[in-house]
Amino acid sequence: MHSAFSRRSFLATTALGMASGCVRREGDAPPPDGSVQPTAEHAEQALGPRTLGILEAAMARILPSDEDPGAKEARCVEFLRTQLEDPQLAAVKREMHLLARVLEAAAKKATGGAFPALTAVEQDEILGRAAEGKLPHPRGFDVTHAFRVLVSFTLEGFLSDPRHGGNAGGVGWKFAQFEPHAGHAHHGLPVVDK
Amino acid sequence: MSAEVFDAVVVGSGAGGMPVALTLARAGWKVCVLEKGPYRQAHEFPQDEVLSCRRNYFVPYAADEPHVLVREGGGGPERSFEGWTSHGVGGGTVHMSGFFFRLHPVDLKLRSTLGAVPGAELADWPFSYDELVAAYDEAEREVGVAGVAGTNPFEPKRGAYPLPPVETHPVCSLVDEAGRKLGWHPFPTPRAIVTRPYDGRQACVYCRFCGSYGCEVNAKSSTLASLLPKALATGSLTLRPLSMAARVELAKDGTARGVEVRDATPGKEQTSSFVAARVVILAASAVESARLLLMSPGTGGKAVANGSGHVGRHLMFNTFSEAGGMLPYATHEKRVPDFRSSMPFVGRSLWDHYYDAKAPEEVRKSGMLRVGFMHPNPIFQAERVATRDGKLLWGSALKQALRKHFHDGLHVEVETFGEFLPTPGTHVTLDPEVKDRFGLPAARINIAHHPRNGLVARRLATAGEQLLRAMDAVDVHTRVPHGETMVLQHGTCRAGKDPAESVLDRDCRSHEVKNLYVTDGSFMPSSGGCPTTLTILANSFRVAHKIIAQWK
Repeated sequence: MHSAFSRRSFLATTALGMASGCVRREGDAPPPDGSVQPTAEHAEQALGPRTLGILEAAMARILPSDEDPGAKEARCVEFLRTQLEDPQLAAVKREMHLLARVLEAAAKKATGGAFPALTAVEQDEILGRAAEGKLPHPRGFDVTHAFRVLVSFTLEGFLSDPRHGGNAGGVGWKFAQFEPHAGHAHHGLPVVDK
Repeated sequence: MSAEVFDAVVVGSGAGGMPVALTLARAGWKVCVLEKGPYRQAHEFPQDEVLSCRRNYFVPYAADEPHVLVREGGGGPERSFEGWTSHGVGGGTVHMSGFFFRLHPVDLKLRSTLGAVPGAELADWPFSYDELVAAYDEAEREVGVAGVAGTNPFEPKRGAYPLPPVETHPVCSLVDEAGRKLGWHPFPTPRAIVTRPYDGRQACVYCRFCGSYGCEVNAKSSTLASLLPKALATGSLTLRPLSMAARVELAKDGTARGVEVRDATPGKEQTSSFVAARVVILAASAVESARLLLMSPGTGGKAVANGSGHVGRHLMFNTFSEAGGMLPYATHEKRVPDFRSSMPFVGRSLWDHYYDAKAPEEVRKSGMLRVGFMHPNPIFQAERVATRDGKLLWGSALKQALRKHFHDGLHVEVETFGEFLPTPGTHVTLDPEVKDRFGLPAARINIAHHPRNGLVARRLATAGEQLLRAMDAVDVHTRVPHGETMVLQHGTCRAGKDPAESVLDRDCRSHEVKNLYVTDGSFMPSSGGCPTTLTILANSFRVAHKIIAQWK
């Protein structure tokens, strides 16, 4: 819970303070079904193509493409990848790693296939269970929270300044009918190197 | 360690710190201002929602510098960034929205007006409204405030504002019409915005990146834009950014001899220095000034200035609630000329519920409504849509809801600010376990609302809802009928006449440490029912003149 009078984000309010508690600690018992056994080592790794592929597929279902562009066209996954290179977001990166593993395990159990290869209906079924915390997960890992964080990243990736890697071609801003002020380009902030 | 002894050291460069620093520097005092955060100037403020509003640009991450929140009836202890107003030169005034209201005289006489309220620790202020009026005039003139005198019928007669009001969106006429229909009195919201060139500053360009952002043209009247340049021009002020005050140190005679400072540059947190001064002035925010005192060993095993045990007590915010609704293009475009104007401000407020002697006792002292557009940040808006009604939307349902939100109309919000009653359970202490990146104990913010807070917040939100319905808004809803404004902080070092019941005297000087003052919102015995930044600025000017008189 945070103050009503705040325009700061879900990520800034909770994930960055608390997500370190989401990582399985040495000595923790393995999850009951044995399906996912990530460790804190994930924190040190960059998100690899397999993990990014899973999260990209999930984001494409969180904000699907229809007559308007969605997370896929906006390249929300590129936003996510870039953001999680920030060492200050290490705890969130661990959380996203674990979420990908949980989704991967659920996909394998359901169909034997990889999450990105599932149909949209199959993906939605798994994500729906993630949103409700009903997927098998390591002890201490809050799947519902992780899914909520991914929704936040999706919306940020869709509607943030394209300099951060998402909102490719300004598709999110066009959808939101948001016109950036000219000052946007004037501050010499780091631009994502594509 | 510097051998220099300043005439005054001021902890904090926001609304509570800069007025006193400026006034003392003008009087020829050698003043050192300590600011925990960095010194960023207008050209460095990004109009970038992710950077400015959703990461740690203006407030620290909870992982680095946590506050610990404990709410009565559930919730916590939780590490949070909440309770930080800012970190950076200019403090919270840099990214404030700048709604600059004066308090009502009743605010200073709350105990006398309401009588004893069970469960609330009410007190009158130890000085009069008249004394504050001169300080309000000075603060408005020094920082630059835009408004129209005489339009708020619930405000005592006052002089003209230094600047004409902000320009408004045509929707403002709907608010006026709806307000009148309800028998209420909308008036132009006074803003800390320079609406024409003023004091060497450029006028507002109506860019929309106002609240939650730093102003790129210095038209917002932050202390950074308005007071700091004047203070630096005196040649008497030393500004020390990235300087975290860790302890107020007392001399053997019980007076304050200065402040121990930690380097706030990441990686250098254990590097300390000492700033010696004749007079020590704290203005780090109600939460952080109390924390600093509680971290400072005083005499008799108690913290500095805390012989009464009152440091940290009587913490107050304002109650906060809001109502929202959409004005559809389909219906309102025909009614309101230039309905799609890019003008960002609706610019209306209402004080009809501020103090109503005829209202039920519990809500007699309520607060105000401020009408504006929903904050224009698109990610913020999308998250609001995704989390409306406490349910998380995703997938096609989210996409449809976003399309409707962004395409079908203008979104108007009525924010409400109300009286927050001080209770024994709402206070600041040092957390026994959690430490920040400096290794210093985090502030623990305990919140136990008085039942009247919720009634006030609900009453005001309902009034907001009525106003929106009278504007023929659709999708009208209220949010968080029982919240608080964590960035508007008061109490914790209450000013009062009785040293056994308060921390500061009428001049905001410690009852116990004669050269120690607190000039942020800590001194306030009541919260008022409106944003209080102007009051904090004004009081800091008021106290500055007292200090000069007392330390000739």
